[in-house]
Amino acid sequence: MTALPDDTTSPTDTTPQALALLLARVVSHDERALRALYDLTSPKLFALALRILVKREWAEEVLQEAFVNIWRYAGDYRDSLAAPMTWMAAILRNRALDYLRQQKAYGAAAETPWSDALDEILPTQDDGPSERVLLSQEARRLEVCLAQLEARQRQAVALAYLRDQSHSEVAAVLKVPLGTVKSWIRRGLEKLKTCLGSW
Amino acid sequence: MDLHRYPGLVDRLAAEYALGVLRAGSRRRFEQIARSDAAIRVSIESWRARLQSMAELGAATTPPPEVWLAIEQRLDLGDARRGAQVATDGPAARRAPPVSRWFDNLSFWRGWSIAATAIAVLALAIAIGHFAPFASAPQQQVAQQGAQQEPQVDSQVDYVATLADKDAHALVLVTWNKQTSEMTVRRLSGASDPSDKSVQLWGLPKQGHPVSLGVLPRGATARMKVASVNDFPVLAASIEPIGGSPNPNAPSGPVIYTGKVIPTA
Repeated sequence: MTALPDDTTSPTDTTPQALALLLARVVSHDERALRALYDLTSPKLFALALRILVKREWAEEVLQEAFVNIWRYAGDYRDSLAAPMTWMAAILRNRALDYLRQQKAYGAAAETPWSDALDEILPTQDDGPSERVLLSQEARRLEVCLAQLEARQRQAVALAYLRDQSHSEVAAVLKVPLGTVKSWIRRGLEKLKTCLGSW
Repeated sequence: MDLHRYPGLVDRLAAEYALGVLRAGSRRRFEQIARSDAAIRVSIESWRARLQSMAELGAATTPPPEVWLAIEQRLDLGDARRGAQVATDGPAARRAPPVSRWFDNLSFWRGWSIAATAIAVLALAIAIGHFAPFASAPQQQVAQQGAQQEPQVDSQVDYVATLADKDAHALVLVTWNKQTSEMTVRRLSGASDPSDKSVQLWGLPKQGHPVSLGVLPRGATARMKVASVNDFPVLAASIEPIGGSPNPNAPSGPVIYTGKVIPTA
């Protein structure tokens, strides 16, 4: 049994069980639980927003909307379906993709460039231990397996998934021929399957 | 075509489908086949499960403090800081608006809406033509239902409603694609959201109470999944407390726009 995160000090327990307990408190409109959840997860979610949207002000707007939705829809969370972090990351990604479409509709920045600084989805030296704990089991497995892909395969797969881009959009961003991107993604997915299937 | 005859093909297509790179006609055909093939659906689901945690990976970046302040403001939080005040003036007391019986009355709704449609229909053709180019953007399902993606290859619109205010100014255009269940809500020029309220969209069935189609996100264009817009002859929008009407079966605030649902074919 995981202890309830302490309300009086800043929360540090980022296990899925602790996050699920916070979400359960958010359902009953516990504001401190939302704040604790925000403190624990917003750096991860903000980074995801930046990876999708690149522009800081867009990412800030989307992070805000994502937490408004988490507050409203925490009751829809089912721990049997996904880890809390997976669920919150899905909300953030969906809001970010919606936002990107709206911006394109307004004619703003039709193509957001791939930023090298945001490229690596693999762990770095900078990741603190608490960030590592935050990852769901599934994310850790995926991380290990993504590490086995060649960098450009991983980049193509990540672009396609995180930004919901087509083969040709990925090709345009990475400035390589369409056929090349198709084979990077195909081989990347094959490797992922072999690796993930062995867990 | 029996995809299972080709070793590995189903799995490859399922992977590309879940990743989102299977597009247009291929995506539609694959969905069509998956509908009657449980093995393919299982394959798609396992790929979805494999990929969805990708969003969790990567280094973290601390957001600026303004973001939390904005969240507090949008959700009217801050009771934790206001302390003792909570007991007497808690969120429940402030957030529960009176539920007006008046708005439960369907004949009131219908009478209101018929008058508003005349000019709205005129605005339609122009509006559809104007917005068609970005109806073809790939669509995203709401987060609660997972990372599922649906095709939206052509800008197909099966039903349309222009919602107008009491002065018959068309202010909101709603279009619905029957195949993908995708509803698109576009604010036309002149439509503005009250800053501290939500706008909630309702379907008014022939019989029974209004059905909530969702709280509209802020911004010019909103897309959401709605199962059966064609079941409602009339749509309406009401002003609600942030997050929507406390009564799931009726608006609690004033109705600001209504319009008829019209098939395009």
